Amino acid sequence: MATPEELSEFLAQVERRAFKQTAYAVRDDHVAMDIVQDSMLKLAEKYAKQPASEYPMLFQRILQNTMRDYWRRQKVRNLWTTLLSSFGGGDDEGDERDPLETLQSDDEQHQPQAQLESRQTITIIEQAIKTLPTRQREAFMMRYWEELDVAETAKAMGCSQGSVKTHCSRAVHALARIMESQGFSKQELGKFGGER
Amino acid sequence: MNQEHDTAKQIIHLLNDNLASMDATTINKLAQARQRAVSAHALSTQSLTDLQQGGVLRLFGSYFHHHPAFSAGLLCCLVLLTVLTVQQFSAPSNDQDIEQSDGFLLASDLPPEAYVDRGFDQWLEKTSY
Repeated sequence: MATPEELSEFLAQVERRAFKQTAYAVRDDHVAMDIVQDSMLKLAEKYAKQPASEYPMLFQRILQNTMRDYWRRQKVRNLWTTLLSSFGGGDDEGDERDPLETLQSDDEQHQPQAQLESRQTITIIEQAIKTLPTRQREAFMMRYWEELDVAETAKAMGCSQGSVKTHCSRAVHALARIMESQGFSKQELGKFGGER
Repeated sequence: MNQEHDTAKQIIHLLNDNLASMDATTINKLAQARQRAVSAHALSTQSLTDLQQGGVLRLFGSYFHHHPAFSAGLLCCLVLLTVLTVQQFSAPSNDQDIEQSDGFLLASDLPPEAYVDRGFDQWLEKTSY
């Protein structure tokens, strides 16, 4: 059983990343804050007897489920709004639609000419992450940002390890493609991101 | 594969750098949420410990303490039920059982064995007037 100190230490480590990760997904800072708070409470209340070593995977799973709950509520709300406001204009193409294609066509018009500062780079990366399909973003965030291994990521996402690898690979390629379309070469990305 | 990993690491490095510049309001809210979670964890841990250390009886004790009238009624019902049950099962009912089985036999048809039993016919002739 984890102690309150262990929980506090764990949450202090992950809370900012969790907030950012949620904000990329829901695209609303207030909602993201609510989701992170709920997830923290759920972890503390329902998994108090679990060892601290299981917290990263459990917290990610709770976070993803809480986000899904939010989307479900939003979907129902949007459905009613659409039904009540008008019967046309439905553009429901499902979750698996890849929005990167539309982004790329827009990007060609806004090709940056000057050298970008670090802040601008971050903004572009954040925008790119927001446009990733949900499963790809989840896999990328858990695998690379939270540094969960493939098995833990698969468990948290409720899918196979092969799917995790595929999602991660597609996410990285999509991000690289967006960065390149924004005028970033791999060397420039390395310059901002720090060579290792 | 390696290139893919490097690209991911570079992006993550940038994202990590950006965390340091998060605004103070958000950081405070997150810290408050963390404190609430830690408090909830402490409560949850405490209740788990209570349950492990005979907490079930303690829970019942507190329930009875808060609902005295209902508890007294429940106790009376339990006593009454126990008395009735004991009375039902412990009363000597041998004679009553014999009467019941005789009544059943007399009221029902003779069993098939009675018709094939020659001794029965003889006995019937002797005893009948």
